[in-house]
Parts: sequence; C-alpha cells; structure tokens
Amino acid sequence: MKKEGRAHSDPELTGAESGMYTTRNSAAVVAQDTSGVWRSSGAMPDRGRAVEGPPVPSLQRTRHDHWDTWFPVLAYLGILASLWGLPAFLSSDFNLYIAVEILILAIAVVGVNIVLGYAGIISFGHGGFLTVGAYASALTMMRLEMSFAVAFAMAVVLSAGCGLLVGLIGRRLHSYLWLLLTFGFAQVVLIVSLNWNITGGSQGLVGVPPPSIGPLSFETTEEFYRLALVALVVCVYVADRLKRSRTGRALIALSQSETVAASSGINVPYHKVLALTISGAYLGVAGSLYAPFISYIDPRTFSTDTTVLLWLMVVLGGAGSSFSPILTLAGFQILIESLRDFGEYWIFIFGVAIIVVTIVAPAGLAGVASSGYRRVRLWLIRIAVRVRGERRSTIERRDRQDGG
Amino acid sequence: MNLTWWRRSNCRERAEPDLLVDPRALVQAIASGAAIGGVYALVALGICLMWRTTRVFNFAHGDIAIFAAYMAWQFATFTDLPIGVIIVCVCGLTGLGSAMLERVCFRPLYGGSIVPPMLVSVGLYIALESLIRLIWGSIPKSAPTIFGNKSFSIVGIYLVPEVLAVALISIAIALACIIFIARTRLGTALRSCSEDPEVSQLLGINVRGLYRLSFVMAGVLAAISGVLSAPIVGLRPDTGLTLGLSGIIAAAIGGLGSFQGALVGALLLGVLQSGAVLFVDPSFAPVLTYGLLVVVVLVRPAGLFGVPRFAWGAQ
Repeated sequence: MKKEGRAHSDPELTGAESGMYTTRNSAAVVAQDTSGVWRSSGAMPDRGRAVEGPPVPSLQRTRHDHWDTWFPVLAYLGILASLWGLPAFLSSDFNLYIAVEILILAIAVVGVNIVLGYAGIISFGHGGFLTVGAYASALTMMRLEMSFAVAFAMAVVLSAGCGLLVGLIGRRLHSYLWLLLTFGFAQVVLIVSLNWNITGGSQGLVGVPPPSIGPLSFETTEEFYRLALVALVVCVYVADRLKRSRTGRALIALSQSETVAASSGINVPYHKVLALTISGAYLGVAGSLYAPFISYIDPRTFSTDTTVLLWLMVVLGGAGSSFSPILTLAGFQILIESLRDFGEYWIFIFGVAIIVVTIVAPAGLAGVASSGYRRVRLWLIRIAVRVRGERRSTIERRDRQDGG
Repeated sequence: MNLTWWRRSNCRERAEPDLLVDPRALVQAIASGAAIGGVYALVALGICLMWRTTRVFNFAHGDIAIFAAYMAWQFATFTDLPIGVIIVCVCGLTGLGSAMLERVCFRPLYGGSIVPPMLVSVGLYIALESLIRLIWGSIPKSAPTIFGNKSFSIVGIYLVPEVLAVALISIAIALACIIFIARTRLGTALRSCSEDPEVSQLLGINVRGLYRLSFVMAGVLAAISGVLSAPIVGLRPDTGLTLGLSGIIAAAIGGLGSFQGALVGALLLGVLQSGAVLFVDPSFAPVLTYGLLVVVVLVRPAGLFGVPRFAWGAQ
C-alpha cells in the first residue's frame, strides 16, 4: 500500500509545491481534498490514513463555516429527493425493474462492506446469507401465511443467526481456512435448499406474495422502488453510524492489523463474530426484499457469482466507504444490462478487469478517482504558479510560514 | 449328521451383508475413491507448491487444469498424434502459460498481503472459465479414454482400467514430487526460499527463478491432473471450480504447505466422496466434504500434517 505522505518523496514535485505541501501533515491534505460530500473514509484502500487520529494542527487557515456543515446535508437531501423522483424519469418499466434490483443489491453491498470494508474479512458465504434470508421470508409468507413484517423479521434473525454460527465456528481461523469455511457454508445452504422438501427443491418457490405493511402494499414496481429506497437509506445510515461508533473503530482497527488491535485491548474474535452477525442481518434484509420482488426464489438465485460480484463491488469501489461501492454497483449493473447482447464476452472482460484493477489500482476505483483528483489539482497549482510568476516569492513565503 | 447347524450358519452368512456394510462395496469405494483422490492429490500438490513458495493462493488452479484438458481434447480431435505426444505438448504449453501468468499477474504483487494475489486468482478463474465457454461452448465434451474403459473384475470387485491407471499414475507422480522436494538439491532450494526468501537470496539462490519454477511445476501438475481426470469426470467448463476446490480442501485438510499432507488429504477426500456416492445420497457428498473440513480444522487448525508457520502464511 502506498503511504499518503508522498509529498516528501515525490520527484515530480518542484520546490514550490513541496513547500506548500510540507507545511501540512499529509493526513490533513487528504482530509481537505476530500472534505465535502466525499468524506475521506477509506478503511482498506489507504492504510496510512485510515484510523482517524487526533486532529493535525494545520498552518493553513482552517475554514469551518456554515457551508461546510450544511453542504453535505443538502447534498444528501438532494440525492435522496432525486432518487425518490427517479421512477418518473425512467422511460420503461424494465429500467425501473433494474433500478429496484440495484437498490436491493446495494443493501447487500453495504452488508458485505461491513465485513470486508470495515473489518477486512473476506467471505464467500454471503450468497448463503442471501439465500437464507430470501427463503426465510418466502417460506414464512407462503407456508406459515404470516405478514411481510413477520417474514422480514424472520429473515433478518435467521440470516444473522447463520452469520453468528459461521463466525463462532471460524472466529479463530486464518486466511484460506476461513475462506473455505465460508465457501462451505454457502455450499451447504445450496445443497440443503436443493434437497429439503419444504424449500421446493431445484424448482424453487414460485409466487412469493408481494409485501404489505399495515395499510401500505407494495405491488407495482414503483411502490417497490420506494420501499427498497427507504430500506437502503436506513441501512446506509445505520452502517454509517456503526462506522463512527466505538465498535466500528474497533472493526477498522481489526482490518489494519489483528495483532495491534488485540494488543490495544480489542477483543478480536468477538468483533469478528459481531461483524459477521451484523452483515448477516443486512444480507437477510436484502434477501427478504429480493424474493417478494421477483416473486420467485430458487437455490441458484444467489450463487458464488453473486458473492464474488458483491465483494468485487466493495473492493473495486473502495472498501470502507458506503457510497462508492453502491455507485460502482449501479454502474456495473447498468453496464451489464446494456451489454447483455455480448453474452459471455463481458464475463471474460469482467475477469480480466478484476486482475488489471488489482494489479494497477489496489485502492479500487475510488482510489484512482481521488489520486487522479489530486494529480489534476497539482497540475493546476503548477500552472497557476508558472502563470503568476511568483514561484520564488511563494517559496520564500512558505518558508517564512514554516519557520513560524 | 447335524445338518441344522450347517443350515443355520449358512443362512446367517447369507443374511450378513444386509446387516453390515457390504465389504465389496467398501473396497469398490476405496478403489474408485483412490483414483479421484489421486487426481485431487495432483491438484493439491500444485496449489501447495505455489502457496508454500510464493504465498499465492490459487483459486484458478482447477481451471488451468480443465483448460489443459480441453487443449488435449482439441489436439486429439483434430490431429492424429499419439496420446503421449499430446500429453507432453499440453504439459509444455500449460507450463509456458503458467510462467507467463506468473510474470504478468503475480510478480507485481509479491511480498505484500496475501489478499491481492487471491483476488487476481479469482479474476483468473472467472476469465478462464468464460474463455473456455467462449472457445469450446458450454456443452460437455466426452474426452476419449486413454487406458480403456472396459471394466474387469478381480475377486468380485469391478475395476475400470482407466480409473486404476489414473490412480496409480497420479499417486506415483505425487510421490515423485514429494521425493523431489524433500531429497534433491533443487527441492531443498525451493524449501529454503519458501522459508525465508531474503536469506535464500543472500545464500546465492535465485529466488525469482524458483518462484517461476514453482509456477511452471504447478502448471504441469495441473495439466497432468486435467488430462487424467477428463475421461473420468467429463469435460465441462464448470468442472474447473469443482476440481480446484477439491484440491484446495484436500490441501487444507492435510495442512497447506505440507506435501505429504496434500497426498493424504486428497486420498481421504476421494474415498469419502465415493463412499458418500455409494452409501449415502450422492447429492450430500459436498456436505460430507465440508463437514470433514470443519472437523479437521476445529481439531487441528493447521491441518493434519501442517506446520502452523507454513500453513497460515505471513500475516
């Protein structure tokens, strides 16, 4: 992983710019670059800056006015309002259908992000959690004829329980053994749902009723879109609060180094199990929405491919942040839907893309975007310095400021 | 003459096979389990070698094997070359391809965390499987038998020459590999560079060369296992994942990093799977497999033969 303190060693920097940058701690540079909507939040991509330390005293004037406080809130509200009104602008029902699918998968991505992005645990079992959630809600509604609320709770509890179980068995396992265990869990879920007579075998369950909560019923795609959007917003909010809580910070510390986390008093196995349980609950939410949405569920709806897709969205999008994986997911799904005609080719391109991105840009697409932003900013500064011809005086002024 | 005693005992003897497990079926399960276990052993050895030397955990190993098997099928269908020449050609090509993969995909990632190489190998698995679908289609191909598939029986056990030959050949190759790594000079160098690359380099060992060598060896092992297993399990694009996962599980049961462990784990896994097919519901074979894995992992986290230092990798 590249350290952020690049300003000291980057040969491209001229004296003026490095003078400008060394006055501040590199963490402060990142924080200022990314303040606004895209708050610096990487747990995994840049290990140098992930844990928020004490605020670094900056020699630049600290700008903290009302605009800084209210801009993110306004931006979130704007995004929400435009998402709420989106169905009116989508031309066909099929596009809306894809939008709902993206929203539901986004909940799953947020759940995967808690395990993979915050705590740095790779797991192959997420398809299994989704399947458990979907079957739990479908079976509760169809076989027990309960309401959607009960089914939803059932799905969340059962998926979280599965997460707890997997976590308890594997809490002390290392790298590949852990992977195998989670993969095994997904396989066992697949085989049980294929062979158990209650689950309808390989034909699956057809005709899962549409959900209704009290007086509200969600039968059309547009109503379902609203339901999924609300669920997603709640999920993202909870995940965000979790990240800022003590537990979330412990999880992020876990992703940096388990040894260091343990030596600073974090109960590593407990937090692993906790992360997995919470993630299971999230995937239960996603599964319990997905089954009524497509009104059908079979054992192969969520396969290993789904799991790989979910965690690649997290890794490509930049682990640890909520938004960029969701954006990546949306972009990716739209890309897939528009490239359906290419059939098998896009899977091949997808595989090659994973390899290329992992080698070339280990911090994910968000990392590429932010480093590109920094580079452009540097060019702009360089050009400005040249144009205004105050290179020499700038250096001197910075030096004076440095000296105090 | 007391004939009643004879009759009763005879009856009891005849009734016995219904009560206990039929010993012939058991031997049958062990025989066919050993064959598939031998193939798993080759896959597991390749994965083990790669992991121990370069710390690359290769998910795509099974797909490399199946790709090689498809190449062999292509050669066998469109040329009249004898099967031995084809196998040598395919092994050479796969070894070459594996070396190229090492250069392009894995060399930039050496020395870091073990997660990025793992991601790359997952990408490789996806790309290879879809490449196979693109080139040869999703319809299963029937690979021609190499050693004949007319079954013969010895003392009531039915054996297929193909299965028997595959079992013997792959176990022999696995043993040869183990001896190569444990006894020869090059094998010692491989072990030393898996233990500490920097010190090995200081001692004049070409570590990068050995990394490449281990990839080439793993590729050749994959090619052999693919070509040998194709007539038994058939050629389908998705067999790659099954084969690779079985190899990985076998290696994990034996203790990843231990070559003897890989062989023992693979044979155990093969016998368990064919036993499950014969005695229990075949569809529950994977459940038994993962059950065995969970039990072994809970009792001995480093695997049956594993040394914790090698099995868990650099953190």
